[in-house]
Amino acid sequence: MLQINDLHARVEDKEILKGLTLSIKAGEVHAIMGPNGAGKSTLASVLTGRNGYEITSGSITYNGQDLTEMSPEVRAREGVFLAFQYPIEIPGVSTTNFLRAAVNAGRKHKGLPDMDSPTFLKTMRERMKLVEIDQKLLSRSLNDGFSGGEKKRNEIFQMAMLEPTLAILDETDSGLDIDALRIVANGVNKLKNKDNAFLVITHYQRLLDYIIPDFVHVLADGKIVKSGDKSLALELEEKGYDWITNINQPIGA
Amino acid sequence: MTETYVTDIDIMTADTELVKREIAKSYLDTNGLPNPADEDWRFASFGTLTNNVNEAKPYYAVATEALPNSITLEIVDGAIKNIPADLPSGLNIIDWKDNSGKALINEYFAEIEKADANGIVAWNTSTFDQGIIIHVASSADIQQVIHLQFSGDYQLQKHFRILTIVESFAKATILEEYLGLSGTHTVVHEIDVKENASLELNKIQNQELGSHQFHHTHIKTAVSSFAHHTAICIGKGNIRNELKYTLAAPNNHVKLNGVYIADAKQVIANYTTVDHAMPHCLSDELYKGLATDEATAIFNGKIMVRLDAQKTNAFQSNKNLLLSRNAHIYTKPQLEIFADDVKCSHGATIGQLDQEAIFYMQARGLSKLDAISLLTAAFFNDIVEGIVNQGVRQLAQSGIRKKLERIKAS
Repeated sequence: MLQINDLHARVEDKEILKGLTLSIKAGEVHAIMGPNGAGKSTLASVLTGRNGYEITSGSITYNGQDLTEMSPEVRAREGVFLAFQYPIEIPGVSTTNFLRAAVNAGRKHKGLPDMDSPTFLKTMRERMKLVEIDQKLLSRSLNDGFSGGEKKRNEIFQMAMLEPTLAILDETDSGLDIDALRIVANGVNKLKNKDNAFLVITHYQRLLDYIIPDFVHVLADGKIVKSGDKSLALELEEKGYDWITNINQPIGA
Repeated sequence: MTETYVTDIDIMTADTELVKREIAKSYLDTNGLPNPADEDWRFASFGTLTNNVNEAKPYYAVATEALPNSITLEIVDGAIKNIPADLPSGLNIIDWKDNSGKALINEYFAEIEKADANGIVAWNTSTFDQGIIIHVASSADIQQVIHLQFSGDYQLQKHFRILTIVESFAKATILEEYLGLSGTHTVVHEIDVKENASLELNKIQNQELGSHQFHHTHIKTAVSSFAHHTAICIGKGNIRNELKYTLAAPNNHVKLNGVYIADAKQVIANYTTVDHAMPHCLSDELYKGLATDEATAIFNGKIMVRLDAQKTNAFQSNKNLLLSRNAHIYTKPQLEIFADDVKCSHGATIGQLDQEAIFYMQARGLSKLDAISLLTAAFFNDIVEGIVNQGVRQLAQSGIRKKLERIKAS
């Protein structure tokens, strides 16, 4: 589904990704862990086409297409979803209206007619249960005055509505208490199927107790320095990131 | 009726109306129309506001949406077309030329706003030949919207006068709607809101290119009254609105709201003045604007808190979106506070759309242009939501949406 080859990317003059290679197949859950400044969020930004991130070499292929050639909205309509680390507050736009526009933009792209109102509202009610989000929250302005946990839950709710093929969760666990973490993870687990894939970016192992990854990758200094199964996450939690970064550097460097 | 009109004025109102018109005329003779040296006309002079007359299009009928539950008065080419016969009890709408309005004219005309207050007022006062009087009787609660719909093609100039009296404990909602006009148009609206009365006054200015609107509204409020004025400037022509509140008694609550969206070479100016003359009053003001292309938008908000106006609460905010390099926004808060026990605040911002918010919406599949129109519509949302009457609110909402779509398409 997603094939990243030797990706180099920079922000302004600073090179952040320095030869990242990663392959994700349908039905898989990948976790990317790494210390601060390793390039985790840059990867999420590059995958979704945020302004200001320049790919200097390497390639990203998504379902056989060159992802880097697509505008952010086309990527979204093609099924790439990013749960933001810091969801944006948008006063004056209700979550419901925003989602209706988003869902229909995706349908139009696929040549489908707009979803009619009863179906849309019915789908919304179903998916709301999935993330235990309150109806009242959705009639309010998008993320406006939401608590940190409510914002993250709203991200997962939007994901449930848009049914992406590739979902990227950028530190969705940061700032969540244990209950919110469980709810968010439950949402992800229920949405998981053989046709979609998840890329879970996290700083801590904690989230991976709830979302069981098939693969765990350690990102350090713009590269994936170690890959393994879920036990790697536990090992990291125990030994710290120094363990990884140290074994990749010559002694005394 | 028409033939005897001039004589009527001469006989019935020689002592008041004509005297005031003479005062206005002599002010005009001495001072002329406002010139750019006047501080209040610095950002857009009278000449600037009237200089694109050559771009005027031929007569243009704007398809208007119906306003439910309203009493509609059509004013076409500056003339009143009809005064509805079956008005609700407590509401009286009188043609200025009608004899039954004389007593109210004698009592209020050019009393709320002085005949020689400024060039625009003097021009209108000395020249207008059509007008109406809206009278809401004591304790009447008028549920229908009093809808004044101005349309037509003047080419030259027209001057219209409105006088509104809301008697004590009465409630009313007015909508002034301006459609498809071209040429130069002055409207002076004097309003007296009596004790414990409440008025919702809305103005939707949706006129054509080549139209130059000069509006002056002066609202005087009595003890424990409430007045809320919302101006929605979404047409193509140039506009200068002057809104004045005189809080002439304690314990008033007034609100001032406005939306202005200027594109192409349009000039839109909103000048507001709140005169806190008495204690324990609250004024709450929020204007939001957008300028793009080569347009100019001006907001000037004056708040005067006089020595006697202790315990005043006066809040003012002006927020602007500047979406093009060649557009101009001027914003000028002007507070003059003479009382010492007051709470006043003001703020003005000029900014661009939040790029992060645009990206967030794109990342959900919305095109950049759709994201921009959703965000701009959202920017004006709090003011639109503040319009109490649902029909007026929807009219304002769809007007703003259409104007934003026009900007997007161009």
